[in-house]
Amino acid sequence: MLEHSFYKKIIKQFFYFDVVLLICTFLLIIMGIFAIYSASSTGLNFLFIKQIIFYIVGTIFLFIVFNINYNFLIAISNYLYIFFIVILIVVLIIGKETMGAQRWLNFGWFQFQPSEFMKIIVPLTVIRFILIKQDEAYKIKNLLKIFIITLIPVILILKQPDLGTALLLFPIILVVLFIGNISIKKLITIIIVFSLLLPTGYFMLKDYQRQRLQVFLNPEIDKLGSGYNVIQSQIAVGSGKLFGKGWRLGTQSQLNFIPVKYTDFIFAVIAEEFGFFGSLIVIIIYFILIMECLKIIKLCRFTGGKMLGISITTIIFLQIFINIGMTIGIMPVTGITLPLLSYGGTSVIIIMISLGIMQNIYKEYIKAEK
Amino acid sequence: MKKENIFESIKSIHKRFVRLKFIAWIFSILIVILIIRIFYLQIIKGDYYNKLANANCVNIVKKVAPRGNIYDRNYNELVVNMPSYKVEIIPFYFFKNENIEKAINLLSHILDVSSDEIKEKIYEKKEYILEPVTIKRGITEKQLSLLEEKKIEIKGVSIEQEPKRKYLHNNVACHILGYVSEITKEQLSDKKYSNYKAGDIIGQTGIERYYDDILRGEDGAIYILTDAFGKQIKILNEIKYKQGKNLVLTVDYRLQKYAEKLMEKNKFTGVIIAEEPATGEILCMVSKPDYDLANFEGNIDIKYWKKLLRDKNNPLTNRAIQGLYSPGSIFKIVVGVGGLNEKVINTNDSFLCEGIYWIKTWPYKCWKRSGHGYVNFFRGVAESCDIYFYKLGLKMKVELLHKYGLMFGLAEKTNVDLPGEKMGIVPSREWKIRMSRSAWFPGNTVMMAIGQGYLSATPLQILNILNVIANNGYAMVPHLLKVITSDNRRIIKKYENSKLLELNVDKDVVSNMRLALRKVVSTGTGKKADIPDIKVAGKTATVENPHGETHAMFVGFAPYEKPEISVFVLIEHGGGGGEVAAPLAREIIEYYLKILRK
Repeated sequence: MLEHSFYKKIIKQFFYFDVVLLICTFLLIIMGIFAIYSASSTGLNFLFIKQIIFYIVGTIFLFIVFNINYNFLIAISNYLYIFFIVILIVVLIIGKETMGAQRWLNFGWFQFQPSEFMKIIVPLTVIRFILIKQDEAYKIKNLLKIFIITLIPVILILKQPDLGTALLLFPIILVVLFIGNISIKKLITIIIVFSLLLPTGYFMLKDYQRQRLQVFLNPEIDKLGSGYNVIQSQIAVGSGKLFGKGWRLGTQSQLNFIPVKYTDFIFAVIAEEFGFFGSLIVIIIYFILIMECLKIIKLCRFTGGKMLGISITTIIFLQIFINIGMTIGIMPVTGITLPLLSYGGTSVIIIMISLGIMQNIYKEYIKAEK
Repeated sequence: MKKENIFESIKSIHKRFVRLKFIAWIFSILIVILIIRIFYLQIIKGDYYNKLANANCVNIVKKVAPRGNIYDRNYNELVVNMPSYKVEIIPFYFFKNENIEKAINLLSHILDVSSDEIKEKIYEKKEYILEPVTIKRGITEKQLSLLEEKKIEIKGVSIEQEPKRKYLHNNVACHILGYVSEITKEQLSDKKYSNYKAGDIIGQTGIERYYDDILRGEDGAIYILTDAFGKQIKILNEIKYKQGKNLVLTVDYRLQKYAEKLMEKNKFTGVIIAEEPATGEILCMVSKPDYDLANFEGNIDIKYWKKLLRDKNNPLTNRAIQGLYSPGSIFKIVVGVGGLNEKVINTNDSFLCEGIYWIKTWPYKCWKRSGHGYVNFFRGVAESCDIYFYKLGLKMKVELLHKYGLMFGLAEKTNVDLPGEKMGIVPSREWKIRMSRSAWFPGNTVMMAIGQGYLSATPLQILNILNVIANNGYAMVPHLLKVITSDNRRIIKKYENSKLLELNVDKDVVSNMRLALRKVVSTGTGKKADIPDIKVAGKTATVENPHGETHAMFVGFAPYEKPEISVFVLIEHGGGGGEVAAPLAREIIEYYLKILRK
């Protein structure tokens, strides 16, 4: 009897899920399994096994977060914020040097990347701040505070250095403010101030980051260095043509012409092996996922939920756009991963947690309706 | 108060909804941009990127097909192949050298190629950084061993074996054979060479050029799948090369060499051509000065090449088909045939030669200052009386001279199987007006009648005039190719002889001219070409030219009854045709008929 009610409880839970979002999530995971298997088929099979474990762990996290009221997350965000700032500092001090970037904490077989978590925690903290200040949130003094809340992790992440993630935080916060009904006048002012600050930021960049930007503008200047990645991934994508070369038959991906193919350039592997047809399917699934998230935000009745939802949607969207964009040569090469498809534990878990929060927002809406 | 609050809240909710819609639109537009870009890469530019992808991972090792050998008519080897080594660079791996400048300098030092040239060749390749670039062909043994030694220091350099042309007889028949070289940039941009690729070896002159399609065969290739680190995964495909076909020429190496010796012995500049009039087969074709083909094996020796270009005597020119000369008295054959055929004269009509002939106030001299007295047709030809032909020419007028000049194939290519043949000029009234805007004078007719003035022709065309008479009214297309054979001498194709031209004149006109030509050698100006037991017929010419001493010219055929050989001899600035050229022709004929044909 007890058991029976336990199962009933679990089955009952599924009524609170947004089914479209869930289907999209698992379709992407299935595609990820195929893509990573193909990308790691040349002697890197342990990556494939690890990725499956990450997906399982990620799914567990999704269900856990699904059962935590998002308002609770907002409420404890200040503690999370301080906790992760400390971790970021620890990373800076003892983090493992990998590919010119100190962004990982090494736990044996799993390398923990705290900066990824900042993509959720910073918006949470800002949302908490806005909710507390209510109508006064958008006064200059408070806006400056929001800016500082954002700037501290940005600086720490830049130090690692992880340009991509750091720069991602600003647009997320801007979108949060936008949905938080900040006046357009103030928003435009903020954007103008930022664009004025941008050139100074450029000179604070490290040499290789500056070079990456230049190579993005003209890949030909460095055909064999940074430009090599851009050219090779475009060759891989382009050579896929309409239907692709077939699963695990992509010459560019299988013969290692695509750099870091299982993380940053996983889309090139998919595009080469499944062609325009496959690329289109992936993008359409992402599009449905994004639109479903926006629908949940629309349904949600609480400002906090709306702001949290939009911050998550924006993170996912920007990662998709920047990652695919860099694979096809319309965005600079940054270390931003493709949600759920790229290899990487932290990346997968963070996206699954985000989607868990999204599902929770939907759950709270359904519950309130009832 | 409460009402206002609700109103505010509704307004705020609506605002949020509008903003959310705005974000949805932005996201949608950006997604569409991604799709458009992917569509562009995969569908529109798909083939282009596919090619690049293949260039990335498929390493094509070209297997150059050996060119066909060239033999003389007795299957003596003239041109063969021998192994040689070329140095290639694959830019992608070459750039992995820690110190590229040093690697380039080292290469430049070993291969004696300037470092700028190496750089230019590497950077020319653009996206195709995995395709090998040829840096130098035909390297020496010493360079080979040096390179092998330094191979570890210079990454991305490979040494490939390829066949190289070997010219066995240095200068002999150099103009006929021609030479090969890597195809030039100019040629590559020419549509005519569309079936050639960069780095291909192509015949540049002579037989090598004319029969390049037959000689060059089809290159083979090995397609090797290679990963990004240059490791070979597997061989995808192997296409065997097809060796070029061999050519057997009509040239008799012994006669060619004999003729060249004759010229060299006297340090003559000029031309000797010997032909079989009945078939058009060219037995030898000498043009002096010439050049040494040994300098054209593998890489062309730049110093030697520049020396050739500077030489005022144009050793690179094949005078036999590219030199334009006045035919001189040999043109009298044309005038004589024309005069007889048009019934302007008959063989018994005589003209008085007093050694000089006046047109108004201009004197036109005969070569024999004392004059020939009364001259009929046979004596006129045999002794090459200029005044006889002045008068005949004036009676025929320029129109008939022009007509018969063309009839004998002047001002038209002989279609010999060599590139770069010239045509020469047969002047006419209209031609002169067009060229110099002045009218045709009787003086022009007079000069034309003895083959001087504006008239010009190549030695091969001049020889053809004689061949028409030797063959009783027609000439064959002169040619150098006898048969095309495969490796085991199996004949693939024979050259098909064809008529170049046929005279539309009375049979006895030609036989009268034949008789007259025999008299030239037996009693006239060409006595020095006579051989006791072989009847030789021919015609001498002593050609005035603006550059100095007269050119000595002789054309002759033998035996008179059934000609087996016709010969053209030209000694530039050699003096009298009968004195200088005729003896050479005699030696050629004698050597050929008495020694070679026995």
